Amino acid sequence: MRNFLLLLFLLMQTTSLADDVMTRSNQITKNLRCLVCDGQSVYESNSNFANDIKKYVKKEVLKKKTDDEIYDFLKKKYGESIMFNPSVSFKSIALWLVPILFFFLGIYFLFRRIRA
Amino acid sequence: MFLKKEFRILYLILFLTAIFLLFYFSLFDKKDFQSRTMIGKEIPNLKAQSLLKNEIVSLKNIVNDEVFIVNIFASWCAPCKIEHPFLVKLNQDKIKIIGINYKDNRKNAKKFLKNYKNPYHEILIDSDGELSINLGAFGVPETFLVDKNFIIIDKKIGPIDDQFVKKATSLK
Amino acid sequence: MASNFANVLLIFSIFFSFLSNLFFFKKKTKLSILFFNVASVVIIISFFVLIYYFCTSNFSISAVYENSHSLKPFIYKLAGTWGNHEGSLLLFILIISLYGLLFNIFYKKKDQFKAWVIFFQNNIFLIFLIFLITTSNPFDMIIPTPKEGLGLNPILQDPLLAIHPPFLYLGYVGFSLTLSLVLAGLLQKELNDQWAMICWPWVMLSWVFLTIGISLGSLWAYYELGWGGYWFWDPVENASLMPWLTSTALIHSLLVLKIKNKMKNWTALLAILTFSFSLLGTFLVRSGILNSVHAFANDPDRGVFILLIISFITAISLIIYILNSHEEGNFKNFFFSKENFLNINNFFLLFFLCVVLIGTIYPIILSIFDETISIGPVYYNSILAPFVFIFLITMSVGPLLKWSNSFKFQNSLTYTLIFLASLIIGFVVIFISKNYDLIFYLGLCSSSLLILIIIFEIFSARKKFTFYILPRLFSHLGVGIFFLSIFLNSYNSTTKNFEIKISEVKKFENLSFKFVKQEIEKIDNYLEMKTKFEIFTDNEVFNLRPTVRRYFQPNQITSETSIKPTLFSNHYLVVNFPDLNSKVLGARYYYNFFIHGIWFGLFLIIFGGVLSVFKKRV
Repeated sequence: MRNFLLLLFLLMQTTSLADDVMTRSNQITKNLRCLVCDGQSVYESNSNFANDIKKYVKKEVLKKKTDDEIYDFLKKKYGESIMFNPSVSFKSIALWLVPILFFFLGIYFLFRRIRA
Repeated sequence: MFLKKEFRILYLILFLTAIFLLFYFSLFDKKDFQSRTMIGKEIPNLKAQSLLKNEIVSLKNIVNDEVFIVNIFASWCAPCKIEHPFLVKLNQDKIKIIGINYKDNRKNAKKFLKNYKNPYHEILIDSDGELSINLGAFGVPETFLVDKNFIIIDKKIGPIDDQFVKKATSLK
Repeated sequence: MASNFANVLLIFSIFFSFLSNLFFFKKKTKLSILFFNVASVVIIISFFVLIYYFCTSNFSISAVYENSHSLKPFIYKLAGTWGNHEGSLLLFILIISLYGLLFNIFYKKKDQFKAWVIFFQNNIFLIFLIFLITTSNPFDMIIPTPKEGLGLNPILQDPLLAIHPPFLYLGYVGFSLTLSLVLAGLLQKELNDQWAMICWPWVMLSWVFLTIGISLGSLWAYYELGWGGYWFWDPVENASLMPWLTSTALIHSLLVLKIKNKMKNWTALLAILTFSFSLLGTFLVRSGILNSVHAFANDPDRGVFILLIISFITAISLIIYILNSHEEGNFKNFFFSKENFLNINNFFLLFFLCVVLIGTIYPIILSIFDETISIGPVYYNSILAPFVFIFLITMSVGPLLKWSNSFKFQNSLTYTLIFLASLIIGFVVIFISKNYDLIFYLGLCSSSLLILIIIFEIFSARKKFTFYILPRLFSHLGVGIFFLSIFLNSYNSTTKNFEIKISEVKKFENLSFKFVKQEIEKIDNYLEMKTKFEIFTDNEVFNLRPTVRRYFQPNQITSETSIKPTLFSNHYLVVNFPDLNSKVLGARYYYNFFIHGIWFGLFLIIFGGVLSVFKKRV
């Protein structure tokens, strides 16, 4: 009976451990960009590249590597672009400025054609 | 005066030239920066099961003090068949080619080599893509040119061409 | 041999095209047009030859070898003709000549205008044909003849994906004729209301095809890609959206020119811009500048050639424009006039264009400085959504106004009631869905306003039924339903991402999933994992059966979505199976609320457009 309970206990541990591994792996792969896709994360993509990286991440998580260690290794091999950083604010200013500029320019031309 | 027709044409030409240059540079630039991370770095000492022999082999034991090539291929990969003649030529020019058989079936891989000739000095099996990641590769085919000090000098994503072969043979 | 025959055809076509130019310069218009027609027919024949090679799996032709396979189903062998760079370029050229031929047939007058239009169409044709022969000849041979082809990629074997390129091409390549018409009109100093009448069906025809092409792409992405959505602001999608926006602005500008003989220069500019954006889209998609690192089928040298072509055509067109722009009086419009509201329409469409252009081009610019940026739906939605509601309101009011006259407030009681009704509808939906978002509210009100006003227009026009407003009613109604559905879908859909093992139940608030069955079957060259899920919502229980396929040749994994439609919406489930050794499946569930409204709206827009092609009266 004791052995059975011990076995059951160990089995439960492995299942919850498996969940933890999956959660951590998924979190990491959601932060990685699939470099052969169009903007998808490694988590979302089904491509060979993404699946290889997913397997690798899971292996490293099982080996108890930290998030940073995993990211660092991949950055060393693939460069910064493998990280899914949200747009840095300075770079993205033009994204907002130019349309706004265009908007007001357009309003100006519109009003030139309006009769009082 | 500066809005006269002739000036407008001038502004137009200048503007279009600027746009042209912008796209021109990004055409040639883009590929380079994204995939060149491993260039100039030492190639990792890949260790895996050999396809042809029944043993584990490691890269630094197979090559010594020479310029060599690492080529990732698979029997199911269409462009690999296109680049194959270039690999055969490299082999004929006495440049050692180490093959990485990527996510393939052993039987199919051996059949592929029988049908298309085997240009590889040795072939490492990469069953789950880990060797590929270690090389910073994106897929298949992908080829690396490595110098005598195991530094990666160049790589090609996609099938290799005459240009790559020429570069390899010139460094020998 | 066989392909030499096809090459001879291509060379003859170029030769005839040159002859057409020669006779044009010698003022022999009849011969000029004749040789253009002959050159076109020769290209049509060569395209059928290529189709024949693909359908008979003739692997001595390089393009067939690289993109086809004897085991491909016949329909995909056929579609493979245009599923590669060289073949699709030939289709591109074919459509340029087709539009030229059709114009020849339908434009009955034998005047200098026609000669000019054919001259320009012929030269656009010639430029691309030279590009084809020198860099992308679909009839290049491969010696010795391989026994089997390389192209058995399962993802490319899909019906929607097969017909989507021809429709897109019939769309944005059709604007080549629009360009020719504009340049001819500019040179003859004849850019007037009659010219607008002539142009109208050609512009509408291209616009309809482009809209259909984009809609098919969106449908394909939804049903086949398994990403749960219908539009991703992907650079390739944006490349087709940009000419669509300028051509929609062009249509509205043509209206002003047709009826009031005003806005000549602006209309000409829009027409030139439309074809330039079509070409830009072609460049962006083919040159490899946008594609991922794995773009080894793309050639930067080809990209440079295309870039040169675009620059050349755009430069010549704009130079002709600058040298021949028409003298127009400094007219001004009343604010509440039709002209002004059509100008406002143009303004908004071009503003949207500007946003899409910047979002698409910005990463390219940054890449020169070795930087990356990820521009996704968050950017586009947040910058566009606030302006959509103003756009919809002006769309509702504009058609009610009069030409060259300020709006005299008749029927103001009815309109006020309609306006209030739209506000109330907005409130009702917000309270039912418990989504207290301002943008959502504005979107709901403005789209319902548009729909209600059109219903009112239909109602009040039924006595004196004027047929010519029918196309606009359909299309605008379609736009209203389209945006209403987009807002409803955007704010009321749900997504659930989870991992699940066999027999496990995953519970969420009003929803639970049970992974009931899993079956793995080996079929031909793939392994298929069929699954069965039981889904429990508040009101019902139903099954969904998504599958995953693992192909061997080439090594690829695809997921087949399982969709359960309801009256307006969809339950949508995709599973992911990256690791054969893992017992855990990744699953993504989307409840796509009101998605059918989006397709219905698009259908109405297209239907209105089709009616409009045949619109004779003003």
